[in-house]
Amino acid sequence: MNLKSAVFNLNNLFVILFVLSAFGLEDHLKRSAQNDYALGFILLLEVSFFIVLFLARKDEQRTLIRDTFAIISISLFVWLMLTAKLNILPEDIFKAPGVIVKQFLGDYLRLIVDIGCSLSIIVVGFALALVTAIPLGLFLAFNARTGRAFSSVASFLGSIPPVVFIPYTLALLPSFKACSIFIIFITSFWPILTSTMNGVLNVDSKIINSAKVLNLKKAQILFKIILPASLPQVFSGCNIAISLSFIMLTSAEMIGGGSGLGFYIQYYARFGNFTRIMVGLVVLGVVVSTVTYLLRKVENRFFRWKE
Amino acid sequence: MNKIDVENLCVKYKTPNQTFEALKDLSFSVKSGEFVSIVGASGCGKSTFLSVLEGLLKPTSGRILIDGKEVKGTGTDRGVVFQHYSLFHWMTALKNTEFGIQQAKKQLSKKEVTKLANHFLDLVHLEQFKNKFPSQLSGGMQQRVAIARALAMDTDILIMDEPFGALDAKNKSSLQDLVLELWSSSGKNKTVIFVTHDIDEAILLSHKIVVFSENPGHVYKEIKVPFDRPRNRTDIRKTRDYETLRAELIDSLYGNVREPEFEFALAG
Repeated sequence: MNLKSAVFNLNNLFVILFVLSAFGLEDHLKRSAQNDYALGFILLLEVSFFIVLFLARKDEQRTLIRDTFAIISISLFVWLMLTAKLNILPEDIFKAPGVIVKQFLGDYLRLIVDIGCSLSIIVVGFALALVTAIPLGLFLAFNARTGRAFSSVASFLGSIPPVVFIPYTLALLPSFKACSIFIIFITSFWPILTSTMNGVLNVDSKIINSAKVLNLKKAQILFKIILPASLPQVFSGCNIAISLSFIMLTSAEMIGGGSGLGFYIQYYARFGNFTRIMVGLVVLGVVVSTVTYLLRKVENRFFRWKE
Repeated sequence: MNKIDVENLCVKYKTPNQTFEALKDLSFSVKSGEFVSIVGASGCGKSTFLSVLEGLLKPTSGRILIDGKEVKGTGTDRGVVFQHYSLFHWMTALKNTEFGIQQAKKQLSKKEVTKLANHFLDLVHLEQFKNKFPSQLSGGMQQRVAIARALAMDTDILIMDEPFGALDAKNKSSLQDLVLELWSSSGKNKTVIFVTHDIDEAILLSHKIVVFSENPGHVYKEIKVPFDRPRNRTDIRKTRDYETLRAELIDSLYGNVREPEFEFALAG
C-alpha cells in the first residue's frame, strides 16, 4: 500500500475543491444549496474511499478504485458548480447535490419499501424464468435436431418486446403485482432459454466424446458435462435478462403501478417535484448496479476455471 | 491369445452426393501387453479406426474383438488420452482424475478414489498442481493429467490418440519417457494402442508399428521393432537397425504416395 498515492490523487484534490467551494463560494441568490448536507455526503464518500482502498489487495484494484472515485468526485464538483454556485442549469429542474441528499434522508424509509417491492418482483419473476428456461433449454438442445428447430422459434418469440404482452396479462391476471411478475418472467425467459440452448449446442463434440469414452450414461453426460460446459453462456443470458427486467419493471411501474421505484419517480413527476425525481434516479442507478455487481461476483466465483 | 482382433473392418461415410470409404478390409491383431503404434498420413483412417475401437462409431461391416468379444459401445476396459479436450475444464486436475476413477471403479469409496488420484498425479510429477484448473496448466501438464487419469482408471487397454502431437520437442520427449516408465512399472500387462505421425516416437515406444495407407484406409504394413527394453532414446538411435527401420518406415509412409503422383506427372 503506497501512502503517497492514497493521499495525493485526483479524487482527494476534487474532494478538497468541493469542500472549499461549498463553503468558500457564495451560493447563487436564487438557490437554496443545503451545503451542510452536501458536505456530509462527500465526507462519507471520502471515508468509504479510504476503507475500500485499504481493503484492496492488488495494485491494479487500487488504481481502479482511485480512478473511479476521482470520476465521482469530479462529477459532484461540476454538479455543485453548475447548480448552486454558478446557476448555469435551470433551478427548478436541476437541484444542487445537498438538496438531493437532504430529500433522500427524508424519504429513505419509504424508498427502502419501494426498493423491496421492485426487487421482490424481479427476484420472483427472474427465479421462475431460471427454473423453467434452463431445464427446458437443456432438454431441447440436448437433441441437436430439436435444438436447432426450437432455436429459431425461440429467437422469433424472444424478439417480441415483452411490453406487448401487457394487455394480455392485465386481462388475465388479478393484480398489478402478478402482472409485473409475469412480465419479468417473460422478459427473462427468452434470453435465458436462447443462451442455454446456444450453450448446449456449442459444447465441443470432443468434450462429449471424451465423456462418452469414460462410459458416462446419457443423463450423466447431460448434467455433469453439458450443463457445466454451457454454464458460461447461460450466465451471459442471465446478465441480459436482469438488465432487461429492470428496464421492463421500471416502465411497468411508471405506467400502472402503485409501488416501486418507477412509481416513486412517476408519482412525483406529476407534481413536477424534480428533487424527488433525481433522488429516484440516483437510487435506481445504485440498486441496478449493485445487483449487476453481485451477479458478476457470483459469476467470477463460479467460473474460476476460465482464463 | 490376442487382446484385440480387428477383422475386415469397413467404414463408409455417406454424404448427400457420394459415399466415402474411410476404412476397407482393415485387419490386424494386438497381443496382450503389446505396445502398438499406428502411423499413417492424415486421412488414412487412423481416427476412424480409433472411434470404432473406442466404441464411438459403429462400423459398416467387419468387427473389432476385445478378448474375443465384439466391441459394441464404450466401455471401462479402455482408457483414452486424446490430443485435445481429454480433460473437463471446469474441474481441477484432481477432480478430473477422481471423476475418471469413479467411472471405472464404482465400488471404491470417496476416500479411496481421492487417494488413488493423488497417487497417480504424483507419478506424473504434478504434486503442486493438483488443485489447478486445466486452463492454468501448460499443454504438457494437461496431457500429464490425462495420462494420470487414464492410468488411474487401470484399464486393460490404453488408447492414445496423438497425445503429444501438440507439444514442443522437450515436453514431448519427457512425456515419452514418462509413458515408457509408467508402462513398464505397471507390470507390462497393459495393451497400448498409440496413434502418432512421429516416426521416432513410434520406434522408441512400440513393439510393433502398423502402417496405415489411405484411399481407402487399410493396413499397408506391420513392422516389428526389435530393440530390447528398457530403451534409451540416444542409445537406440546409434544402431544400424534404427536407420534401416526408419528408412523402411519413411518408405512405407511416403513411398506409396509418391508413385501415383509421378505417374500423373508423366501422363500430363
